[in-house]
Amino acid sequence: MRTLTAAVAVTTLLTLAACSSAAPQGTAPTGHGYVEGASEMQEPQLRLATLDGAGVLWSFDLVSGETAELTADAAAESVSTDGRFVYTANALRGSVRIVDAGAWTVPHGDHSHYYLAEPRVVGDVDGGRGAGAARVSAGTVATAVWFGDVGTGIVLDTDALADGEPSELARIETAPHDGVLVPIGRHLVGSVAAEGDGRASSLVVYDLDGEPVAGATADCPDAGGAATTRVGVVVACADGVVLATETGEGAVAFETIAYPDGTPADDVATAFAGRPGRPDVAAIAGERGAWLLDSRARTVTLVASPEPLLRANAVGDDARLIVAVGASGRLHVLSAAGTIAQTEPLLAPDIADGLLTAGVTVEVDISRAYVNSPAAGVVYEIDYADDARVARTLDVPGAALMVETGR
Amino acid sequence: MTARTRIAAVAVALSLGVGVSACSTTTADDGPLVVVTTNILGDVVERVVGDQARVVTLMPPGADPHSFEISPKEAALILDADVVVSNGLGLEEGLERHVDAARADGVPVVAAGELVEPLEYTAGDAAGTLDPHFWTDPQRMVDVVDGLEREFAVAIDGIDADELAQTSAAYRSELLELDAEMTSAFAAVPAERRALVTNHHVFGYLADRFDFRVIGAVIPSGTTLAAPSASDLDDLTTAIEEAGVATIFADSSQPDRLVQVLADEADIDVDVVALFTESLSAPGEGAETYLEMMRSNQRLISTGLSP
Repeated sequence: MRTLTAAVAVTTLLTLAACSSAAPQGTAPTGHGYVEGASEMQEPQLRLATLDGAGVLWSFDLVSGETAELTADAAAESVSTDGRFVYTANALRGSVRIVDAGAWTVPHGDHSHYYLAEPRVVGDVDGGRGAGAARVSAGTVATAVWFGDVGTGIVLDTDALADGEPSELARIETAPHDGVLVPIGRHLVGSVAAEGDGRASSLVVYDLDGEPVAGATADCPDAGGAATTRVGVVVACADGVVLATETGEGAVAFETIAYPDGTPADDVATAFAGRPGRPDVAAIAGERGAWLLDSRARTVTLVASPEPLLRANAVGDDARLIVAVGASGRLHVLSAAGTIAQTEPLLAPDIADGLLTAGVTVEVDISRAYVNSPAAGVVYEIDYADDARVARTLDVPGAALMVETGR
Repeated sequence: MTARTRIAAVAVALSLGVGVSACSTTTADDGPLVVVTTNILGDVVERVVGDQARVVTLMPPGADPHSFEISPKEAALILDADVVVSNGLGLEEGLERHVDAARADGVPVVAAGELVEPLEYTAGDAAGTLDPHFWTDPQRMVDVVDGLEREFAVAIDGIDADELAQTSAAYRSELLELDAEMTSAFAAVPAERRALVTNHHVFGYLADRFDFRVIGAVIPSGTTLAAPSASDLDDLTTAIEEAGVATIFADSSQPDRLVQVLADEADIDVDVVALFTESLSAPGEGAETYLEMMRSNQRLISTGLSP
C-alpha cells in the first residue's frame, strides 16, 4: 500500500508538471507529515479526556468547549494517556482499554506536526484476572503495559494502535513487584526484582521480542515511577535517578543522576510528571517542595515550596516553572528562584474529603495548566505565566479523573 | 530516469485515468528532465525552460518547504535528472540529503538562492544566517531567471539556446511588469504605514525591496484565545502599537476570535489577513503561479495598509 501511494504521488506530480494548466487530480498531499485518515492541523488540538463516576470516558475540546463520549466501561477506575491514546483500567479485572482520542502531536526536531482524526476504541488488553493496576508507557515503536502485581509486561506495536488494532509483540514475565516497563526506541527499559521480594533491584533492557539484552543493566533499588523526556527515559530509584538514552548504535545506555548531597531517603522522587517532549520533569521532594530533573543537563535541583506538595508537574519552559498542588489545596507556580504565584485554595474541598485527592491531576501545556476538582466537578484552567490566574473554570462532563490529550 | 521506471509511472497514470492524454507537450518518453524542489521554483522553471524539458516539482501545493519529504521513488527521480533546481540557503531541510546525493552522483544542481544577493536574518534565533525566502522580491527572481537560463544552456544537452533565450526573455518581461506594478502600488502606501506585523519570517526580501518594516509578533492561538490575559497578548499588542497599522498579516486558526480578543482585551481594532508565504496554492485559491501569488499578496497588503 505504501509503495502504491508513492507511485501514485510521483505519477500525479509528473502529470501535473507536464500540464500545468490542467486541474490537479488526486493531489492529496502525501508528502512530509501526511498521515492516512488524519488531518494535519496548524496548531495543537488540545482536549481533556475525563472519566466520570459511571465509567464514561469523555473528550472535552479546550477550544470549542464541545464534548464527545469516547467509550463507556462501568469498571473503569483509572485513566492515563500518552497524549494521543487514552488508557482506562480496572485493577481487579487486570484489564486496560485503549482509546484513540483522535488528536495528537508529533515532534519533528525543531518543529511539530499536529493531527486530528476520528476518535475510536482500539481494543482491550487483558493481563488476566488479578493482574492488578496497570501502568502504560508509550513509545514511537512500542507501547508497554505493566501489571506489577503479577510481574507481567505486555509489549504492543504502537503503529498497530494507530491503525486501530492492539497487536501484541511480546509478553515479559518477571517476579511480581512494583516497577516499571517503558519503551525507548526499539527497546524497553524494565525493572526486575528477586523472587518474593516485591521490590525492584535493578533495570534491564529488553528487545521488541521481550528478550533481555545481554550486559545492559543498572542498579535501581525500589524503582518507582518513570517518565519519557525529550532526552530519554528517567526512572526514580531509591538512591538516584537513572537516565536511559539511545546510543547512536541503536543500543541503550544507562547513567545515574545523583540527588544533592545530604538528601534524606524520604525526600527522593517516586514519580515524575512533565510536559511531553521537554527535557524537564518534576517530582515531589518529601515535604520540602519539588525536584526539578533536567534530563538534558543531568541535574536534580530542589525547588522549595511554601507548603508540602501533593502534585508537581514541570512546564519545561525557559523560566523552568513547576505547577504544583499544595496540601492546602492551593496551586503554586514555582521556580528555582522561589514561589512565583499561587491561587486561592481551589482544591480545599477535594483535600477535605480525603478520598477525592487521589483523582486530582495537574496537566501542563505550552500556555496553560489544567487541574481537576472532583469535589466541584470542574477543571480549572490556570495561566501559569500570568500570576496563576484562573483563566477559565471548565464545566466538564466528568471531573473525577482527567488527562490532557493532543499534545 | 531509466526507461523502465518511466514506463511504470506512465502505466500507473493510465490505469488511474489521470489525464496524461490531455497533455500534448511534455509527456514524451525522451527529452531532458529538470527536477525542482519547491513549487514556487517549479512554476518559474517551467516558464524558463518552456517545452524543451520535462519539469517535475517535488513539493505539492500547500506543503511546507522546510519539512516536506519525498518517497524513495521521487528520490530516485532526482538521481535521473539532467539538472536539479533547489531553493537552497537551507530551505529544504527534508530534501538536503537527496540533493546532496544527486550532486555527489554528478547531477548538476542549481541552488536558486545562490543566484541572488542574499540577506541575513536580523532578529531571532536565526540572526546572522542567510534568509532563504528571496522569492518575495520579484527583482531577485529576475536574477534567478538570468542564472537559470545560463545554467540550463550548459547543463541540458541539446537544448536550443535561441528558444531558451526567447522563453526566458518572455518570462523576464512578465516579472519586470510585476515588479513595476508592485513598486507603484506600494509607493501609494504612505511610508509610515509600510509595516508588516506578522508571525511569518518570509517577508524580509519584500521589505528590503519595497521599503517596508517587518515587525515579528507571536500570534496567540488555541486555548490562549479562549480566556486571554494582557500578558498573552503583550507581544502582539506592542507590535501593533509600534507599527500603527490597521491590519496584521498572520496565519491564525481563529482570525475572527483574535480580532475580537484584541478589541476586548487591548482595545485594538485590527483586521487579520493571511498572506501566501512559502507555497503555491491549488488553482483558484489565489496563488496558482508565482506571478499570481505575488499579485495576491500585493493586493492584500495594499488594501490592508491603505488609509
